Amino acid sequence: MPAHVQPLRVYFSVFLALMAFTALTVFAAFVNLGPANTFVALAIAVAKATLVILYFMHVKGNTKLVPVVILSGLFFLFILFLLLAADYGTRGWLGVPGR
Amino acid sequence: MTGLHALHMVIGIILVAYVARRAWSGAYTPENHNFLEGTGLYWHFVDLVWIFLFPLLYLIGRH
Repeated sequence: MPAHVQPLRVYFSVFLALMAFTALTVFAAFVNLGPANTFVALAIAVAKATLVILYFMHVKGNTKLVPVVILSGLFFLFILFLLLAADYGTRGWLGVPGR
Repeated sequence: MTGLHALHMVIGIILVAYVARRAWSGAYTPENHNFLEGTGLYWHFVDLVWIFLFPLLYLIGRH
C-alpha cells in the first residue's frame, strides 16, 4: 500500500496549485462573461477536484481498478444530471400549465 | 447545504484529531494504517464537496 505515497514536495505543490485556482475562480467571478461565468467556475472546480482525487486521495500510482470504479461512478452521476437537465430544458414544451 | 457540509466538517475534525493523537503515540505502522487512510479519504471527500459548493453558493451570479 505505501507504494503510492509521493514526496512531501508534491503535496505542497498541489496545495499551492489549489490556492492559485481558488484565486483565479474568485477573480473570474467578478469579470462579466455572460452565461460563460457558470461554465468557467465549474471548469475550474473540476480541475481542482481532479487534483484532489489524483494526489490527495492517492488515486495516482494506485491499482488501475480504482480509477475504473471512480469513472463508472462519475458516469452514473452524469446520467442522473442528464435526466435532470432533459426535464429542466423541456419544461413548457407541451403547453400545459404547470407541466 | 452549508449546514450539512458543516456537520460533515465537525465529524471530520473529530476524526482527524483522534487519528493525530493516535499517530503521535505511534499507533500506525507501515503495515497497519487503514484507519488513517480511511480518515484521509473522508476528509478529502468533504474537501471535494466544498470545491463545488463554494463557486455554486458564493461566486455564480456575482458580477
